[in-house]
Amino acid sequence: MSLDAPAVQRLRLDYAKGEPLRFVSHLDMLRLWERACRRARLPIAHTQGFNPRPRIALACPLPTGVTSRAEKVDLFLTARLEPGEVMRRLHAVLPAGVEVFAVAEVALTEPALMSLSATVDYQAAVEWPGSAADLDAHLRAFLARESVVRERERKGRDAHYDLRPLVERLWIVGQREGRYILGMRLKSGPQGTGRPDEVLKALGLWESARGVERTAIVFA
Amino acid sequence: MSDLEVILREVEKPGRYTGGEWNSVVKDWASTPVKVALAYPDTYEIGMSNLGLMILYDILNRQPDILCERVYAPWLDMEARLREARLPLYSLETGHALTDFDIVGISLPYELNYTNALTILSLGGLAPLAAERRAEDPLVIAGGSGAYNPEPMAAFFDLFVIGEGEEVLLELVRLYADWKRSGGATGPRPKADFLRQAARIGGIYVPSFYAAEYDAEGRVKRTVPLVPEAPARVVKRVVPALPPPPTRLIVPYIQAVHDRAMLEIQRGCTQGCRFCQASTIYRPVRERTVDEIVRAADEMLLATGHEEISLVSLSSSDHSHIEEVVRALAERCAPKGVSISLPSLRADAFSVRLAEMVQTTRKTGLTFAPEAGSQRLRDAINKKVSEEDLLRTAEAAFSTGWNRIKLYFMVGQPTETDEDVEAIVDLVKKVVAVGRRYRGGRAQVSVSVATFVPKPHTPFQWEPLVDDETLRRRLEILRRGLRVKGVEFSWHDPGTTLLEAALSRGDRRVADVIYRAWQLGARFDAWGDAYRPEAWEQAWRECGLSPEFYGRRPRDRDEALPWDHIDIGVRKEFLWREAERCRAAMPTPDCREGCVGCGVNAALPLAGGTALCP
Repeated sequence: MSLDAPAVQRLRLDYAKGEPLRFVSHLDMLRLWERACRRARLPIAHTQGFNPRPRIALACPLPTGVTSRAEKVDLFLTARLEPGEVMRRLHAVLPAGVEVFAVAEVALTEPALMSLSATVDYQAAVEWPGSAADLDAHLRAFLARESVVRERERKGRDAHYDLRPLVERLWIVGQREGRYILGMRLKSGPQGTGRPDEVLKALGLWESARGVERTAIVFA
Repeated sequence: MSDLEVILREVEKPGRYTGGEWNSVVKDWASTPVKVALAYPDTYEIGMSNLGLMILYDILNRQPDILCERVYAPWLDMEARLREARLPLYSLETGHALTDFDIVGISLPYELNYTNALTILSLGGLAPLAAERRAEDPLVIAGGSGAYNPEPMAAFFDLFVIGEGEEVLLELVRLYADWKRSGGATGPRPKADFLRQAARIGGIYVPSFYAAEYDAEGRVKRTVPLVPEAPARVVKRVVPALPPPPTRLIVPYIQAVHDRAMLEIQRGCTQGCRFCQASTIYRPVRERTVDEIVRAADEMLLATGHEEISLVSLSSSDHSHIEEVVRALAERCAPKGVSISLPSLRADAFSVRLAEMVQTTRKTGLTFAPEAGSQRLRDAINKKVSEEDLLRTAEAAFSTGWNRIKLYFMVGQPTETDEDVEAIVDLVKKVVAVGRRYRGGRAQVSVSVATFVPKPHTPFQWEPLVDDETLRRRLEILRRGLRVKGVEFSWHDPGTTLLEAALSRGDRRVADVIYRAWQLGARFDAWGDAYRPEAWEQAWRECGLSPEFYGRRPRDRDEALPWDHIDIGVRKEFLWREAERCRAAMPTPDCREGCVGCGVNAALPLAGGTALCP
């Protein structure tokens, strides 16, 4: 194995991120994958140049604190391996909280996962004192607004942005243990990313929200 | 409404508190009879970088009947949240409170995290004062380099492990398990009975079995044992040969301070720098063989997946086969994209060659510690590096492609004058000039300066801490002198220096101050944003003690020291002789060149080991 060997195969893994990884950031997840691939002795390709990095790429960042059953990661290999073999090797070395459920080959030339715009679904359990119809009306009222200006700290400065265009849909999925399960479809990509915690805060439902989970990433 | 989920999403870096890391060991709570919690009194990121705790975690968890879990000090926000919610501090493996364990061990690596040890106990549901804990509470023990002067923390622990824990900790845990199984815990004087048995184990210090006597000036007169089981002097434990290193190191999710595979290649140091406590307390030197190191590195990299391996030791270039070690590791690591780091390199051309062997792609920076600017002062502190060495080192580094050299110095060392500090400026300028010659404007020299704090069991244990005015004047000399292009100057804020000096050489009475300061909110005293000088000032005042008495007072040769009953094998006469040689600016050779007579070979059971005590 050499650091200069070119990638000959690109594999896309679908995986779930559960407890206790919820508070592990996007950047730390990347390191987790790098280390797991080393433990699995996968022939990972490296970027060229001054400071070679393993060629491992994650899809749209998952907010810290959110679990997911719909994550994706691309691995670039310098020697071909059967997807099943990769799955088997990774299973043995991944920590609790990462579960790979599909490995498929993708063309080497496909655009980078990160660069793709996507719509992303989340679900969150929230407390709502009224009826389902009231909650539904509350969600509709939010969607009827033309803009929802929120503040976001950026590089130590408060910046304003409009959350509304980043929210495509809001709906009630059902009920569980006295809480409503709220569904959200948000935009994610270079043009802007809707954060589920920001939506819940704008709806006044953040304090009572529990177990926020990403359920789907759909590339546009 | 504050369950743990809500708390975690509101605190800084919640990944500190969730556990579940690769290679962490989660045993079945109900079916494992003996339960030990090991705690580190600083943040997760710092604690996870401590190899000592990893070694003991590995040893204990290898025992089928023992489980060992980790606890770190929660940051201020997490402590406040846990208290608000009335939730106990919990272990990372299974989330149990400290009160659920049989034994709680706290490492004491550094004086400025002593208050965090009290936070850990109190948040874990235990009274910080040993005398106030209940019979059913766990045995609370301490170890680590801070235990070499256990007195300031004596009131908080049932016992201290003095020295290396690899063997003695298991002996102690076994004794405790037997005692508990035999119903000792329900006897009439439960804990005292156990402690009497424990005091017979070599290296165990039970502070409640000793009394300190003071003279009219408040100096310790002597520390005497009160029961027959307690030895007059507690001799530190050492392992004759280093046991195999742990290779299944826990891999953190969030970035630790030293987020890399740590492999201890040797323990101890033969250089004999007079300011250095590690140099005396970790004697003698024990090396691992090249084979063992390479085998362990292979295992470790496969078990962790780390992208960097660090060869840990007090002086890496001193390992007698270091070149072989580095060559063998570089061959294995380079093709995998794994880098090797060699901390603590001696300032010589050989070290630059070693660094070159490991830095194949990136040439980030090289660090050396001349510690003093003038040859006279380097002789006085016994730092064996000459100006010529350093300049040749700089030349070797700059000429082979490095752009940046980092130099560590100390101010406030015994016998230091303003001229010695001005010599730092001159020396740095010479290094910059070498850099210019080879790298032009890209040459960078960063200079990092710390204040010297005298520590127990060193030749400087009798010396006063430098006074504030002198210190400020000397830092000013550096600040002004080092306003030079290509030089980046940084110094550790000396604000906590007196506190560190007082705690490091304190006696038993200082425990009251630590306890009071902690009650008044002292936490993370080494962290600039958390340090609360007013809490400490009030605590010293209320206890009728002063940090100056402990930190700034020179001691006589015959004065009894609060740690005289702790025997590290190095004789006090040797330390005093070294102090005298300091005053005469006489260096003492490295003990690889011939025995310097510290006494450790006679005092400690080293037969059959691989200890280097020529």
